[in-house]
Amino acid sequence: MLSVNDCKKILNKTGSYTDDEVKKIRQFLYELVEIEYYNFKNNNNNERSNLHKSIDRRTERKGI
Amino acid sequence: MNVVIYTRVSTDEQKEKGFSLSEQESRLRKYCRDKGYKIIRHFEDDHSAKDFNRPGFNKMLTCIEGKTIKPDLLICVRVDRFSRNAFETMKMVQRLNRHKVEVEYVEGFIKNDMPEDLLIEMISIVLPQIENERRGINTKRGLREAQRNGRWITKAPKGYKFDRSSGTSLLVPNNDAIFIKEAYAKYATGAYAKEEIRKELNKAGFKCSKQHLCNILKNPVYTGKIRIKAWKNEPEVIVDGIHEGIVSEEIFEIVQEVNKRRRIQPYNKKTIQDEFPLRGYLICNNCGRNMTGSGSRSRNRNKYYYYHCNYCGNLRFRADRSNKKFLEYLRTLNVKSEVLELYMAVLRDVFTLKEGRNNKVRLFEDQLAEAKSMMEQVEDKFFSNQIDLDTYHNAKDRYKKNIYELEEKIQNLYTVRSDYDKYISDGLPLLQNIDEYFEKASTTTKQRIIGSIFPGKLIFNGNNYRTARMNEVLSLILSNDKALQGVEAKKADNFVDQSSKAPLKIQLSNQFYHDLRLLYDLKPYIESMAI
Repeated sequence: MLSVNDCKKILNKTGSYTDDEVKKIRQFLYELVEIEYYNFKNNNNNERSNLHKSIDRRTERKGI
Repeated sequence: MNVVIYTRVSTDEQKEKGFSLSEQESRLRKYCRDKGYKIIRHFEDDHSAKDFNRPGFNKMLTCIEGKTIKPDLLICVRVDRFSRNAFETMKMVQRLNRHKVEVEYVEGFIKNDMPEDLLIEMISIVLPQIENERRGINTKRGLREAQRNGRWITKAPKGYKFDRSSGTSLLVPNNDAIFIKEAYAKYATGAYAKEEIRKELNKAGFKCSKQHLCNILKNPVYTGKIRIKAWKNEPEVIVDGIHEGIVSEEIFEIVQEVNKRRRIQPYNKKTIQDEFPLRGYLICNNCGRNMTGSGSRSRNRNKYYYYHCNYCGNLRFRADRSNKKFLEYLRTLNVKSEVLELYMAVLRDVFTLKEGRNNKVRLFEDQLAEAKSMMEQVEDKFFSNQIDLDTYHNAKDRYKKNIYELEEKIQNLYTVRSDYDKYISDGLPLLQNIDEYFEKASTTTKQRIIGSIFPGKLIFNGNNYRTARMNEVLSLILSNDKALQGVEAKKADNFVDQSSKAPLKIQLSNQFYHDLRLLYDLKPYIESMAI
């Protein structure tokens, strides 16, 4: 997890946020990124499983 | 005179005083022999005397009340062998008296059939209870003192075991500790429900109930601390334990924050349907209960999907239009540039951490350095004639091959695109294009996003969405306040904060209908008055 100071450096380039606000924003962003990562991994797995399905279908057709 | 003798010992007493059952029995037998009593049965127990829930005593009571034995006396060594609870003792003596059984003690109180005996008897009955309670308080104080010194005094919590090798009992992490760590890490992200985490861990071999996981996620023992509960005038305190923590204090605090936020969850996970991403998050504008969704077929055999309220039946919205309106609302959320910059940094941090690429590179680089130093050592040994030419060549070839393989692995890690690079080049980060991302995401992801953005349930009136509990972070990260105004403009009704599963406290009656019924009931009376 990024430290509060690192987050503050980025956020306070143009805005001004208190430590408490930075903590809340950081928590919220990590929550969203977690959802995004979960979705990305799920999509990758689905793509892989679709590939396997098509290979299985082809081998079935050829009677291997 | 027929008598039964009763002996009792609690394990602690037996250890401490050597006041054993056999010793009590021999004393009672001697007493009966001296008095000329005939012992018809002997009952014994090794249970506490705080109540009469003891197997030996219950057996004796069944025999007396069932009239399988008819004793005149029940004899114990002392009152405290009979009971240490004054109120229970008196009740039990009365109960035995009803079956014409008197209770007699070898030591202490001796009956003389005088009215004043009652006072002495009362004192002799109360004394064991006082002793017992005093002992209880002392034990409790001792245990609390041990807790204050950082020792865990009850059964080892899940994830720990007791190590008694050093003479004292010390909590040390066991095999389950890794699961506890994972549960904390996942729940701290705020993107998972406790039940999701529990099911995942259960599959991995960590068995625990729903409530147990809740308790685990609140227990400071996992940060190396001990919670001492409030007792009498002493308030609840958390002290440093002598054991090692499994999770950091920072993670623990984040988990407590997530716990406080009470994220809403869809009410039925099994009924996830692509047509209804908002199901479980929408509540009825009329009655405040959860809206569900279902499809219905039109005359031309087309299927249309609706969100509707099953309770009051008044509200019904086309699902596709409601979903579109929600997307339109998401489109109005413009995030500040500095927040977007931070979001990308967080994205990189999470992807890199989860992928573990840096760790792999570091590991291979360490192995490479070791292989190179080994090769240098072999060369040194050869030049100082410690090994012959064949051994030198064999070792050199082996290490060369190893070095080549490791260099190739490191090169591959640098050249193959990382998950983060792939994602950034091919995909759309959520916060930059929240509406587009939402539209393309799976229903589960959609619901996760709704759950994160809106801590309270949503109300749809056909045109706009509103909610009673706005996410306070949104006001910090959005550049336009219009988006928030659209949601907060209308003040929410009281029922929004109430659980949708519990029946409403105030009945939402139709006043007009109620008045009409009243008038209708009064109709015959009014008519008779008119006549």
